[in-house]
Amino acid sequence: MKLVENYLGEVASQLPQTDKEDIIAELGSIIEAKMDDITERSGTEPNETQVASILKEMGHPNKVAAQYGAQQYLIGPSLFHPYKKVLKLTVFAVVTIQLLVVLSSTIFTDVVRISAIGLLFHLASAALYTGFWVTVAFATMEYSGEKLDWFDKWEPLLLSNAKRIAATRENAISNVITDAVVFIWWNNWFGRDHDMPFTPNDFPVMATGVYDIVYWPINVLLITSLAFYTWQIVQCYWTKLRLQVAIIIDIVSVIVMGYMIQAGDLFALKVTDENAAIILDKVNFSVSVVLAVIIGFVLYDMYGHLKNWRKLAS
Amino acid sequence: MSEQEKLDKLKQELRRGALVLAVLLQLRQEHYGYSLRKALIDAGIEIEESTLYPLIRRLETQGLLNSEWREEAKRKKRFYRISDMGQTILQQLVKEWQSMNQSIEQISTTLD
Repeated sequence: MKLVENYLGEVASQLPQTDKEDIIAELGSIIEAKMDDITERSGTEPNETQVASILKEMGHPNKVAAQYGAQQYLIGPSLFHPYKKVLKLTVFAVVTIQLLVVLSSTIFTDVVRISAIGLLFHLASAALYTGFWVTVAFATMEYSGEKLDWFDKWEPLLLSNAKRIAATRENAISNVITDAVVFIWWNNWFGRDHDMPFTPNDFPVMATGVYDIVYWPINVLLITSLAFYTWQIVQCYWTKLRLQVAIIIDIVSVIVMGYMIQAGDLFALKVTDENAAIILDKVNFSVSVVLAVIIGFVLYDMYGHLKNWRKLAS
Repeated sequence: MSEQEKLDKLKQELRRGALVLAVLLQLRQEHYGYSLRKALIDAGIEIEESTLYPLIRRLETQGLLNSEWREEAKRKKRFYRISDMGQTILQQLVKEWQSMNQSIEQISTTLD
């Protein structure tokens, strides 16, 4: 009967290749046995409504197929709450930075370069991009969390040990994601090449001496921070030493970024061009705004570390 | 959620753990999927088909059941029966079940 064939086809399309034929043959034989039951009771073969009722009893094809496989999910219940928190926090941070850059450059340069709808799409795509990477990070953690038994190896005594204080995994994850994004941005988008990647588009830009001075310190800082907070994701507690490291990273970051803002433009024109100079001003200004916003976040992070330091000291 | 819904949910959770035991006990006698379900229903154990058939396959993969395709009344069917390993595990599970029953009885008598 076509109805049964289609039902089994639906189930089969969602089954793993290995046992597919066998499972479908078994389900088919059970449906046949149920149809035989009806024939035996009523003396006639089941009609379409009766077959539909048999299939209803068997269950929705998706549900049936799912029961034959292992339970699968991208982010499980133990990580879902921190995932939601980090997602909200990072999306908020990224969208705020993007919005500030666009608004400030519009206000200070008097040039409107994006429509309201364009801005909305711009912010939505930034939010989606961030959401994607946060999801990838948590899905990886979900998978490796099972492999490394993080949740089984945790040490309850740490919670009462005066020399240690529990850290939130969300804080460490936010730092890792932010560091990774900035690291990619710093190395990929700007590049190390003095000629800069804009040259093929006839926008003759080069890096200034400021860029040269901060290129490696920033990379070293980001790599240190990435390694430190990745370790914190696994360990998930603060000691005085770790708080010292975190605070030093914060202070050095603020000094480097503060230097970049006050030292002047990161990029300069290779030739004299009035229109290009206007755009370049905007780019340099936007970079300063981004740096200022990042300094704000770093200071807020440092405030949290100082509060933890006080808790440990008391 | 109404009181009845809460009760149904808790009953469902309570039964879930006992299903494997019921299936293993029932499969001391040979059955194919549909006849097993009917036997369980006759014994007062309601189980959804979408849960039962995958469950017996899992138990077979774990080596607790043996199965073979055979023809009965001109229809090919897959028959299941408990394996030797399944028998050994079943005995231990029954003991566990009885001990749990006893504990629950004891707690409930103490509190009455």
